[in-house]
Amino acid sequence: MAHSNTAVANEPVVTTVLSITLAAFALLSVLFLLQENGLLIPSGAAHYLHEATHDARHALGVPCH
Amino acid sequence: MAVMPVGRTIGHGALAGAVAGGAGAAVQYWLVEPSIRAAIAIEDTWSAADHADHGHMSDVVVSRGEQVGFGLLTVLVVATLTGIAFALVRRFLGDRVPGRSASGSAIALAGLGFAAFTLAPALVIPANPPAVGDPATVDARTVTYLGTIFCAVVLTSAVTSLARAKRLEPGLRVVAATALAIAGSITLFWVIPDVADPIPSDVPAQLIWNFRVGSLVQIGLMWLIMGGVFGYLSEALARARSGVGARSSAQFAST
Ligand SMILES: [Zn+2]
Repeated sequence: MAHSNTAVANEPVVTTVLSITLAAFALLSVLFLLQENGLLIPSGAAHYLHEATHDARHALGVPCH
Repeated sequence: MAVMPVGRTIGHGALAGAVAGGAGAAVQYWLVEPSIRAAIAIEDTWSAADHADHGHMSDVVVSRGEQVGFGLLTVLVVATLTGIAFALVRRFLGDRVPGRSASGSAIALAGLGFAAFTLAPALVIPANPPAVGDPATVDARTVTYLGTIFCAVVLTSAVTSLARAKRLEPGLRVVAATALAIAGSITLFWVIPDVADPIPSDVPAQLIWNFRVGSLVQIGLMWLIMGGVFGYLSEALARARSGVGARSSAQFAST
């Protein structure tokens, strides 16, 4: 990237790292919410989560069943 | 000039996402749920014809009513989390995002997000209502879905930075970015395998069409509202900081 990056430059590195981590975490939470199938939580709870988020998953275009 | 605290960025993102999620949930309820209901009714006729393992009716842990309500709640939560990520990405990218004002670049970033996260997967592996989809292929479809988003994010970023490359002269920039966008899209559609499931013959085409259009309207509107609300909040903050609305465009890079 040859562009100036003022927004990043005048901000502590810690803040930038924290921001990226948090953004990644937020997106992973979305993935977890929409695609959890027993990897991280007990499969019974995962099944419940899968059924509870079912309509949103279809509407948001995420592959379902 | 002070940089806006990260907490403020997160707050703006969460608020913008929540507003978009509320609107998205409303659209889902009015525009998408009718198709889901019709599709589940078709699934039910199959289970009645003794294909009990096919649909969602085999083991009910969440009732249909709860599924609708939780579905709307899920949209709200997903949109709020996406809003936070959006705001942080916007902050991280700073003036690498196109647009001359805080609101303009928020809308621009939302538009790019729509192209990469919504339009690309919708074209490669379109949304389907219940009653369509073979459980045996769901892993391949999920990998394709996520892979398409990843490739589309890379392509969108490359096209955008090429379109704004200051080393190239403006005319060349436009041609190069357009060429990359066309060549990249064609390559992606050609390379990514077609793993979409066939649509069963007793599911009407009209139902699929209504569902897909409803789904795209819902997600598109969510991106638009998220970008708009976030842009409004950044603009309002810049105005409050400088006390002069006209100067907000000079300040947005730091918000
Ligand atoms: Zn489903």
